[in-house]
Amino acid sequence: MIEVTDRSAIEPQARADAASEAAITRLIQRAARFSDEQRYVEWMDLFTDDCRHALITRENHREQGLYNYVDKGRLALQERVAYLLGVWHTPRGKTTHVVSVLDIEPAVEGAGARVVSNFIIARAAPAEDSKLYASGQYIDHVVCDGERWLIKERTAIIDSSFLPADFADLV
Amino acid sequence: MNGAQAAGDVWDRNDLKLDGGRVIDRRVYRSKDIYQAELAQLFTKTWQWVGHESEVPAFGDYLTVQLAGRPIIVARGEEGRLRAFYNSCTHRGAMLATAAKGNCGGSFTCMYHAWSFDTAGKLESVPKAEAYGAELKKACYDSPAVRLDTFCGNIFVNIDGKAPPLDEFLGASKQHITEATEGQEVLGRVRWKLEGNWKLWHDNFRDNYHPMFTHQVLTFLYQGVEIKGENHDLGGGHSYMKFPPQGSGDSYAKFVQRLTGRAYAGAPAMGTPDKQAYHVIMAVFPNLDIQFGGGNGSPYSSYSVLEVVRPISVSEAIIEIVAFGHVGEPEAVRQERLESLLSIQTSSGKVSADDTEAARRCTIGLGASEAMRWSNMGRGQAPGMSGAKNDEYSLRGFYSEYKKYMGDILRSENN
Ligand code: FES
Ligand SMILES: [Fe+2]
Repeated sequence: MIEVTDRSAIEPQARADAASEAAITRLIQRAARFSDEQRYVEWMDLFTDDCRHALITRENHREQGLYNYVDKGRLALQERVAYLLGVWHTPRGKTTHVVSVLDIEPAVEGAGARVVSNFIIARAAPAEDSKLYASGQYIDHVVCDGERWLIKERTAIIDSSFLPADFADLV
Repeated sequence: MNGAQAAGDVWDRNDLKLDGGRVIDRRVYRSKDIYQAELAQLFTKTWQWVGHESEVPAFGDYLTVQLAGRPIIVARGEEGRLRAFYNSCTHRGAMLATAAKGNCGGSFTCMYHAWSFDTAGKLESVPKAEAYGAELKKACYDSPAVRLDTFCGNIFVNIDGKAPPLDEFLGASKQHITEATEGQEVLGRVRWKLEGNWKLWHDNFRDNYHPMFTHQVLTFLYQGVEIKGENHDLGGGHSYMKFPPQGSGDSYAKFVQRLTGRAYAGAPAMGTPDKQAYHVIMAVFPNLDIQFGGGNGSPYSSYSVLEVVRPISVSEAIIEIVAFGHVGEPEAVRQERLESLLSIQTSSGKVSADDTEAARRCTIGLGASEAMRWSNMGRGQAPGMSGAKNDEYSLRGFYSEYKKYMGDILRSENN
C-alpha cells in the first residue's frame, strides 16, 4: 500500500514534465466527469487491464487495511459497471465530483506517476435535494501506454466514520 | 394462508396478528411509543454484542459503545480482566472517553475537572480535593459497573442486572457462534446508515426469500436450479439459515455482458459453486447477525463477518459490520481476506447495498395507510421450528420472542 505521507523515497526536485502533468490532470478530471455523467463504460476504459480499484475508510487505512472492496483487473471493473447499470431497475442519483489534484510525483515503484487528490462528492437522489455523499482522497498510480495516460491503481480513502445508506455509486 | 379467502381479508384477521405469529403489525416499524418501549424493555434487558477480545488485548485497551442512548466503556484491567462501566464522569457527567477504541494508559482522566477513574470505573483521584472537606466520600463516586460476560471471545454487556446469564440467553445460538468465531480475530469495522427502522435490517437477515430477486449479482445462482437450504427458529429469538452455493456462472456472464455491452470472459466473483461449501446466516436476538461459511477446505471459503444494528431513532439506525480472520493465517491469505471479505457487504457492497435500498423503500411504503396494517411472514406452513431456505420460521421466531419483551404495548390500539 502506498502511504499518503511517506515521501522519503522521492527526490525532492523530481517532477513529471509539464506536458505530462497536464495530461495526468485531465485523466483524473475525466474519470470524475465520466462517473458523474454515468458514462461508466468509458470510465472503465480509463483504467489499465491489470488495474486495481479500491475503496477503504480512513479508519481502516490507518489500522489493519480492511477494504470495502478491491476490484482487481478490468473484468472486476466490468462487473462493477454492470452492477451500476443494472441494479434496482431505477435511475441512479446524479453525483457531482469536485476533485482537486494536489500532487503529481514520479511513482516510487515502476514507471508513471503517483497522484494525490482530494475529492468532495455531492449527490442528488431522485426527488431529493443534494447531499454530501463523500469526501476524501484519491491515491492514484497512473501510467502512460505511449499514447494515453491510464489509471493503474486507484485507492479512494473515505473520511467519514459512517457511510451513507446507499454507497454503491462510484466514489 | 387460505387461498379461498377474499382479497383484503388478511388485513383484518385478528388471528393473524402478532400473537398468531404469521403477520406482523406494521406499527412496530413506525410507532414512536413502541420504539421508546424497545429502548427501555429490549435494548436495556438483552445481552448486547459490543466487541471482541482481540480488539482489546492489553491492559488499558478500551472500547466505547452507546446502548439505548447510554454511553458505556469496556476496558481491560491490569490483571487482564474485562469490565464495563458507564462512560460518564460521576462529578458532572462528561464522557470519559470519546474514541471508538484506544488505550487509556491505565486510567481515564476526565477532560473537565480531571477526576480520574481506573479501568473498572473506580474513582482514583480528585484534584484539589481539600475544598470538599470531609463531605466527599470517594467510594460513592465510582462509575457504576455494567454487567459484562464473554462467549468464545465475543464481549457482551447487559444493562439489566436481573437478566438471565449470557449462557442461558444465547441458548442454541452458542454452537454456531463458536463455529463462526472460534480461533478468529477482528480485522476491522465499517459502519453505515440505515434509513429505516432497525428491525427491517434484522428482518432482512432472517429472510432468504428475497436474495434471488433483490440481488441482481446473485440471481444467476438461482436460475433454473432447485433451491436448497434450511431455515430454523432456534428458540430464544435466534435463528439459523444454511444453504449451499448453487447454479452456474454462465448466466452471470450474460448479465455482465448485457449491461455493459462488452464481452465478458471472467469467472463470477460472487462465488464459484462448490459441492462442499456452505453459507450460514445466523441471527442472535435481538440485533446481532453473523454470516459465515466453510466446507471446501479453501482458506477463503472459511469466512466470518458479524453485524450489529443499533437504532438512533424509530426510522434510522447505524449498522456496523465486523470482519474476522483466522489467528495466525498466512500473510497472503490475510491480505486477500482484507481485500475481498467485504466486497458484497456494507452500503458500498454489491449485495448489501441492495438490502439498504429495500429497507428505505419499505420505510416509505410502510407509512402508506392504516388500512394496510399487517406485513406477512407466513412462508412455511408445516408445524415445528424448521423448514426450507425460503421459509420464515426464522422471522416468526424473532417476533414471538420480541413479543415477550415488549408485552402490553403491542396490544394497545393507540401507538
Ligand atoms: S465533569 Fe468530570 S471532572 Fe468534572
Ligand atoms: Fe439481502
